[in-house]
Amino acid sequence: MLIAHISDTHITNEVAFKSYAFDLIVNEINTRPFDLVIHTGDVTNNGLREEYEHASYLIRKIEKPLIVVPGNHDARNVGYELFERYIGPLSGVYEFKDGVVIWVDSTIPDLSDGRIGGYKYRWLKAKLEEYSHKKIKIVAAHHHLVPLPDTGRERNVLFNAGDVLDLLLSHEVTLYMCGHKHVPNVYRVEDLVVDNAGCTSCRKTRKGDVNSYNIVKITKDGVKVTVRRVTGEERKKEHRPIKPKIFIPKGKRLLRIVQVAESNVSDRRYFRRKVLENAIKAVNERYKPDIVIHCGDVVEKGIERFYEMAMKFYEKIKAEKLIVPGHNDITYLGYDLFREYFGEPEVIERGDFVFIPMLSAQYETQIGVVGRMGQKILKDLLEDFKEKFRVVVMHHNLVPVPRARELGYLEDAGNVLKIITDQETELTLTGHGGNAHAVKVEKTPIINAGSISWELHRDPFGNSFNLIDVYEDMIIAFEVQATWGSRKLLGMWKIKGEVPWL
Amino acid sequence: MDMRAPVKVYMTKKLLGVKPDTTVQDASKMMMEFEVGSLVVIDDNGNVIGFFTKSDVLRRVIVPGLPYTTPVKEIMTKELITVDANTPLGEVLRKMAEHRIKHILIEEEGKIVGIFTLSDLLEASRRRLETAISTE
Repeated sequence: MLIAHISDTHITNEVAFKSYAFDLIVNEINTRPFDLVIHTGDVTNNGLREEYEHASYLIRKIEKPLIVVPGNHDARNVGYELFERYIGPLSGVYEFKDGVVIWVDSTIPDLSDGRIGGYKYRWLKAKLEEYSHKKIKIVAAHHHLVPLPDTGRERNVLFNAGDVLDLLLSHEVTLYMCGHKHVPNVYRVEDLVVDNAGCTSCRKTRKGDVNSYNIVKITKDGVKVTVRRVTGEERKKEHRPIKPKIFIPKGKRLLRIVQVAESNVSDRRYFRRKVLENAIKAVNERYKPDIVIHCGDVVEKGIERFYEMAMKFYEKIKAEKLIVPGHNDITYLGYDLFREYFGEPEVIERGDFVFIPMLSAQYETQIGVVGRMGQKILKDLLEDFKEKFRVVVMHHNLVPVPRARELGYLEDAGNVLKIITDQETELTLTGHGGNAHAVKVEKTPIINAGSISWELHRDPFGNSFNLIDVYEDMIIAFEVQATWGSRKLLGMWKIKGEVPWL
Repeated sequence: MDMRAPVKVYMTKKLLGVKPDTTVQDASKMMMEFEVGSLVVIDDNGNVIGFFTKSDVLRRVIVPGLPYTTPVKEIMTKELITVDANTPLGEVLRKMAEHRIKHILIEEEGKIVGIFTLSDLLEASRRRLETAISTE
């Protein structure tokens, strides 16, 4: 199956639309052996009637089966109604021999953000169940599923990207196709390939980039995506999933991490003191980790009384500790108090391992930022410690977490995720959103800790902490229920890159 | 929990395995370390050739008095009970009840690709694939 993936044509009679880029790409598509063309939204620039008239004429130049997904620009000015009239259905299904394409309208009228709300989510789920037997399953929508690099403030992923990602991964979807921010990019999230097209014919490219489209080739072995720019430059990326995934642990356990987050120590009712006491006891007596990593929100408010209480809990932990502040920790006087009580988070080297804390909390807002200088520091540290097993530790989420709204993101999650994956970082730990979750993006497992002792969490398993064991050739992560001690597998990944001991 | 959903949605997709010559003691240690109730047995080509659970250790090693050094290939179940990954959950549960088993292997195109156990069922009943973001 060979698919041409175009996006963000922004057809209008204004300067935003570059008709020569459109014609060039359409001409290429028509002369190459594509089986299907998928346009992932923003066909028009403002959802206006004359734009739709113009667009419906132009897209007819594509002489291949064509699927068009609505984008936020198409939904402007009640353009979503015109979309159905001039272009086609807002959501739908296209079947081919071994597979299926399910596209879904992720727009919110008059907003740039995306959402696949309750009805649409259930529809998507029902379709995935209906076509479960198909070998190739493709889901297409306009908005991002994981943060994209070079998008400035990354705030336009689907609001409920975590829930959607969970659904796609459970159903073993092969490919997610999207557009939106005009940045071509390809990630693999576990075995799901997330293919983001750049913009086909809009003037608004990023970083002085040129127009492009993606060529997606799906075979029985995997998915290969080629980003093809109008200059003829090509960048290829391929993912061949391995099935079945069977793990035969080799050698001894090299490291055990206990990862906690959101203890939110305070005198409020929501703080479950007993649960935290229990968990600390279990960590000391039963799990005996090499290091305890707290990914932030140690206290609920940055005041001295809560810091004093928190200190009493955490000084009981026998293992070495690394604590990064979350947004709650630095409220009020917290910025100074955190350093007074727990010290400035510093890089810890321990044999073959290195732990790199990143500060992302901002004063009195939930939204985090690493910043351009922070990104540079992170990149340099990852390069400096290339020979070691690198663990990046931060508070804010890099990938969306189920049940959480995208509010918890980093402003620059796209860039930070890119640095972490480009450097083939061995492990990344985060602690925001109140739900334990783990996925591997490219070669990096990214594990989020739920809340260990705060009643306001989003984890059906309850308050929990994570247990992460590193073996010679694999990493295994469990979620441990903080009250009962029952364990649940979060993820298991083979170590394939270069590590000091292999 | 949706009884019509294919079992692949709820199964564990990553399996822990042992080689046929691993001793039952080493295999049991592994089950304890990873807190799992069963392991698949893998040949050198990566194919699943057997399966055994904690209760098989009781039934086939402890009770007959076999030594701890018995290789797992001698006590493993070779005739595997499997279902296809696209089988609806309800049907899988029926099959498990019929055979009175707590673990069932899931296959896809003749290969074992997952396992579904009672703990996965518990997890499925808790973790619903829904979104709370809005109704629209």
